[in-house]
Amino acid sequence: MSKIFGVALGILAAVGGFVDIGDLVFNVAAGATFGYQLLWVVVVGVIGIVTYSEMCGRVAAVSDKAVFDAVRERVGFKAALGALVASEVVNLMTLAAEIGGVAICLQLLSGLPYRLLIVLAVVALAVVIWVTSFEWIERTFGYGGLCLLVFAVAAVKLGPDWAEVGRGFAPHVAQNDPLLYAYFAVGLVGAAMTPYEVYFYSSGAVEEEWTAEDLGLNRANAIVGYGLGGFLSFALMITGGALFLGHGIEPEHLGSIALGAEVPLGQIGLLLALLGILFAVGGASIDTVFSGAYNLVQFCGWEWGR
Amino acid sequence: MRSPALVAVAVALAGCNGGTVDRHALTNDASTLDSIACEGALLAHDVSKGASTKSFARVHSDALRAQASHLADALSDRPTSPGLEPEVRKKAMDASAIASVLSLLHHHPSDRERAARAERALQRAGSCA
Repeated sequence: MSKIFGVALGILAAVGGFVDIGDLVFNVAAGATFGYQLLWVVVVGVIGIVTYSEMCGRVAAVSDKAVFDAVRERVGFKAALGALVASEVVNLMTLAAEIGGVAICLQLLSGLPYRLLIVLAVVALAVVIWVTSFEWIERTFGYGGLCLLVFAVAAVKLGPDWAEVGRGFAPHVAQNDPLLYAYFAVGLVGAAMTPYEVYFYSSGAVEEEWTAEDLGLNRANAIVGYGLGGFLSFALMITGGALFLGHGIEPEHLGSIALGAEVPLGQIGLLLALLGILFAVGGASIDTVFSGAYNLVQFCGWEWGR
Repeated sequence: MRSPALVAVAVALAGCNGGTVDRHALTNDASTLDSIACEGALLAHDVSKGASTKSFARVHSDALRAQASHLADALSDRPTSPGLEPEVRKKAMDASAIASVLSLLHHHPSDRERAARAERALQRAGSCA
């Protein structure tokens, strides 16, 4: 019974932790630009992240090696160094975007100056990383991120054309502006398959001391957790399509995304959306920091873990 | 060696609101301006109904105001294609007017009557659906 509870908790944390700043921005902007036509791309992205995470979790459970341990061992120093540098650069850029997102979200909640909030966000995240256990970080931010489910309610309340939504799941190329369509398609796959998620997932498997007996747990976490996380992406894109496309709005601010929940649901929708964004983006910042550290110590062969 | 670098800098500056406004650029800027006005109208509507929070209305209206204001500056300064100048300068004034309405929302984020007036003004400015 406690194992089932553990699986459920892990899945819930994965759902809340799936969405980060890239998913928020790209899904809503894609919906506002092409309606529901890019929903099928989210499915491709989710299949990709499930495949990679499940594979890395399996390797970690069986060999007790996380991604960069295995990379260094299998492909040699030079290729692994190239992969390390590339992944750390991407991690750093992702972290900068996530911290900026946390500060904007705090500003929308409090009205305080943005620059001050960037400093506060960095300090707060550092304190959380330093004093909180791995398990509590994962679950607090994962569950907090579940506030983003408000976008599923908003999407339904906005009354989209469900037949049109259904057609969006069939792969196709848009007739109007195919280049922009391709840009969004690549961006959506990239947003769903952010590298830090895979590094974090496989290192987490080693931290949690998964063994071959946990392969079922690994599969359930990856498929159900990320699958349901993809559901949040659908909700964001449908909200973007149902609200912004009809009004000719190109959402360019984090506040525009929150407006997507405020318009159909009022203040409670706005507050839940902002809290969900804050936890999702804050959690992603922490995951990114952990991933960067994991990659470096695993590549160098240093001792690591909580 | 220096010429390609200068060309690169010139191209980059041209992309930063420094180039000539042609018909295509004007259409894009007009569409962005309509988008800002319509988003502002949605926000103003929520404020007028008491469906937003003071902080959110103040901060988000300011973000939209800054965007409209940058467009106004760019459209009032940049050189234009022949025959396009009156349209471009008119659009700069529209952008400036939208920024002013959003500024009111920023300074009075809980004034429902003012918000209702702002909503109507922004809807007209952006020809919102």
